[in-house]
Amino acid sequence: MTGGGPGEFTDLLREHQHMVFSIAYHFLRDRAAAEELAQDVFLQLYKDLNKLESPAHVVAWLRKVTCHRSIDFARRRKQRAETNIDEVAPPSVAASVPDPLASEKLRKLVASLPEKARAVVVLRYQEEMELHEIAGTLGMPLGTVKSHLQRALGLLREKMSRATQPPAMEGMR
Amino acid sequence: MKELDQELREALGRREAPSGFEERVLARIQREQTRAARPVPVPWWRGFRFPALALAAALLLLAVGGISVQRYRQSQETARGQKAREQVLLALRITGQKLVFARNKVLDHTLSESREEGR
Repeated sequence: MTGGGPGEFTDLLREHQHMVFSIAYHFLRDRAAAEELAQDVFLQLYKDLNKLESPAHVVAWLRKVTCHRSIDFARRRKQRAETNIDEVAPPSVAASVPDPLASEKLRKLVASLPEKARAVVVLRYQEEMELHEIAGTLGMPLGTVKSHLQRALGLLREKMSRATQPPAMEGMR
Repeated sequence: MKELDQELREALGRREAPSGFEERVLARIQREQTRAARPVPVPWWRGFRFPALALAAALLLLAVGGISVQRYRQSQETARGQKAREQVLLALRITGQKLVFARNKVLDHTLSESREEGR
């Protein structure tokens, strides 16, 4: 990167604000907290811009810092305790009928995953990153990323599939 | 699996940052820069450029302070000694005066007895 002048920073802010905010929002499911966190990320970018070597490096850096800050924030707020995945009711409509609330329920389920698994899912499905890229961003082995993803998808699938079961079977659970 | 993948992509699509986000970030940077530019009063003991100089100055102050305390204590002891001496002298003077008074009394008594015997 060049000397990191104000103009360059403003361009980066304009280009990447949605990505950063969106990662934080899907992680925290709190618009105010997501904005505050996203602002902190860009403040740090402003200070560290000279250390970044290329536009690709900036993107990787933003994703990494946003994820790490989101994980720390969520742990401090103990969001998982507030909304355990088991407490989130599955969508009430069968999968064959489009449910406008299904996406919202799915987002809620994602936000109730353990923090690291949540980060893997958000980077995979929002940013469409490859697993090895996710491993580099989060600083964890590839095997661990795969394991987190598998477990998360299993949990989500289980919750979502309950909506397709006939009502009589609901009481048997 | 494919269905869930697709559902997740739709559910987790990028959200737009709130309106005015860019302006708020730039305003916050401006505030932090203004705060950083304000001169911070530096305590006198932070004025030293070199830690070694600061240490030497501190040691010198300690030494001077120590000597001053010692001298003060010595002067206090001297003063106390002087006071005690004066008290002793006063006591001796009083005792001496009383002795003289007593001697004079005795002499007076002896003289008066001698006069009476001589009659």
